[in-house]
Amino acid sequence: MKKFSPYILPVLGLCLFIAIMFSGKYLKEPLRPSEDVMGFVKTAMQDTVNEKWDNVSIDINNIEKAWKKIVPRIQFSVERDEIYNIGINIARLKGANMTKDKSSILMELNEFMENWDELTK
Amino acid sequence: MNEGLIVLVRGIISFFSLLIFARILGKQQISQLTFFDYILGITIGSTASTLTTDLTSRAWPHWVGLITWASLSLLLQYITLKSKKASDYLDDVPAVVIMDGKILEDAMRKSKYRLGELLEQLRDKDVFDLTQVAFAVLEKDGQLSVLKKAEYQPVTPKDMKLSVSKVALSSEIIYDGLVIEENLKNIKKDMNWLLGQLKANNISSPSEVFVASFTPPNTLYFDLYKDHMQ
Repeated sequence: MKKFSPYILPVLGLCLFIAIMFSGKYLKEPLRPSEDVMGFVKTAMQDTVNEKWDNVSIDINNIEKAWKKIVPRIQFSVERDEIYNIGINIARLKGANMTKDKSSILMELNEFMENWDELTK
Repeated sequence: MNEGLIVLVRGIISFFSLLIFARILGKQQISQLTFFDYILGITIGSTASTLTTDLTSRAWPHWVGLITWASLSLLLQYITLKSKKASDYLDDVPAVVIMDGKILEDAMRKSKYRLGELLEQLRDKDVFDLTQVAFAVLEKDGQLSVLKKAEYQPVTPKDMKLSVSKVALSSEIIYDGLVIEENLKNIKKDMNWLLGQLKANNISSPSEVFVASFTPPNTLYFDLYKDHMQ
């Protein structure tokens, strides 16, 4: 046991580092319903297709709130630009929603989904 | 997103990863590094730096790069340790550049070693006259080993047939005012003996001593905090 004890700390350290670098994959999943980003995106898509504009506003608001809860958890294991891209998607969604631009909203939501998938690949 | 916090966390990851890899890679001194070891160090350091501050990419690929370079270096170390042929092939072999007092130009050209460098390194070895040199070997790490002709070798006690006392390693028994009891035990002395020695030297307590070392068979060296310099 004494022979291996000097190796325990470095090995544990390296394991911890690997865990931090891979944590985003698991931490982007919702821990509570209010963090279910993809659930809100899918709802927003349905509401947009059905042109329920009041609901779309709420959905986009929910997406933004959920995203802001996820970012601090995944920021150590993802690229900065990936986070920025999703932030830009949300800003465009808000703009497109102001003019009730159905096609732009759907485009942004689809791009959001793509960026979400890319987030921790 | 807090960029400062991310850099802090990534900095901790790369710092301790580097520390661990450096400890695994061994104890070679900077002066013993070959040219490749030097480049290897720069590359690993540069990768660790990118891991810390380049937030446009994830930490993981940089960390994989870091571990790849460190692992390959470790593998080469292992191979060169186990096989002399591989060691000669990978690390090159020492080149004799002066033999019997004659400079071997072909060997120097092969090693891309200039006359100016040879003379400089000879001066570094206190050789200012080429006629004094019997052999000079350019080592793998770029250092020059020089063997002077017999008539220029320094005289040793053996040459003079003098008897000398056996050399031994000294050990610190007081360090920064604190008695190192383990070393005291190793030299087969005890606290009473140490206090007696201190008293004999007009020192009332070990806390007055910056360092005290013992060299067998019976030499004790003290350095006090108060230097009494005039």
